[in-house]
Parts: sequence; structure tokens; C-alpha cells
Amino acid sequence: MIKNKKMTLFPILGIIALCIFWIYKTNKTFDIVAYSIIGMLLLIISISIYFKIKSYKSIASGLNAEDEYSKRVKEKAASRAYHMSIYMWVIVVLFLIEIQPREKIIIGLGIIGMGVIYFINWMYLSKNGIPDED
Amino acid sequence: MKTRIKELRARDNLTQVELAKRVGVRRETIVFLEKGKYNPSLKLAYDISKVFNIKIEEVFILE
Repeated sequence: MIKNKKMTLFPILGIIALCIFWIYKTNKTFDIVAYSIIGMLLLIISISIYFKIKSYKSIASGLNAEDEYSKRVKEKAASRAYHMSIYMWVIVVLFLIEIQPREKIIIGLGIIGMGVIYFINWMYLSKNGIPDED
Repeated sequence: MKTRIKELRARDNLTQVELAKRVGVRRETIVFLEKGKYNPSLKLAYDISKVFNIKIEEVFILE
């Protein structure tokens, strides 16, 4: 159980550590892109913490932390995120074409955007169920 | 797909948490099954029908 808790906490702590490192290392003043990246990272961290608390509550009441429904939700969220991210990449490339350094910003926002879409889908499906599978 | 889980739980005086523990899932899974917002795997459907001691088709009704 303790090993499992440590393993699930590791990705969240990793993201937080990377954020702190990135903010500490940068010498540039924050612009709108930097603030939006920080905002998206905070959203990802908050949703991760929310799901971890939920799974610990399940464990505490003697239930499974992860069952077939939660696995199905993750699969469905991933497939929806992939589908939606195709449109997001198009928008990112079209609207951020003038911002420098272009490649870094496009790739950074694109990857974090995919993460945000995945986590939002995960949250939505775990709250509303998966009714469209008949 | 309709389910009779809620009705059968009431018959057997089982809470959602108790049923979830007996079939090895989270409470949310039972909630969504009762609301018809999730179609269970064959194994879960079998486990649930075993708890209520009736056939799968008597718990889960295809419309």
C-alpha cells in the first residue's frame, strides 16, 4: 500500500518540481504565454490531486482504488483527447504563428494543451458516466 | 440497457458500498450502473448477478 501511494504521488510531485525549476531558472519576465502555461499546469496538478484524494478515499473505505470503470474512463478520455487535440494543434499553429520562439511555444502549448484536454475529459467522464456505448 | 440493481439491492438490504465491496469495484461504478450510464463487462455483470443469486438477464435488461 505504501509503495503504491509513493508510486502514484511521484508523477504529481515530478510536475510540481519541474514547474518550480522552470520558474526559478527563467530570467525572462512572464508574458501571456508563460501565464497560460502556468495556468494549464496548475489545472493539471489540481485535477491529479483531486483524483488521488478520491482514490485514497476509496482505499480508506475498503474499496478498490481503480476498477474497470475508472480504467474505461481513462481509455475513453485518452481517445477523446487525441481526437480533440487534432483541432487544438491546428488552432495553436494558426494563431501562434507570429510569436517567438515559435517552435518552442507551439510544441510546449500543444503538449500541455493535450494534457489539459485529457484531464478535463477524464474529470467529465468520471462525473457523468459513459452512456454512449450501446 | 436497464438494470434492476437498485431494486435488487433494496430486496437484499445491500448498500451501494456493500455491493461494491462484494464485486470489487468502486461505489461510483455501482452508481453509474444503476443510472444506466455504464455498461459493465461480462465479468462484472456475472459477479453482480451472482451476489443477487439470479441470472444475468434478470439483472441487466436490453431494450
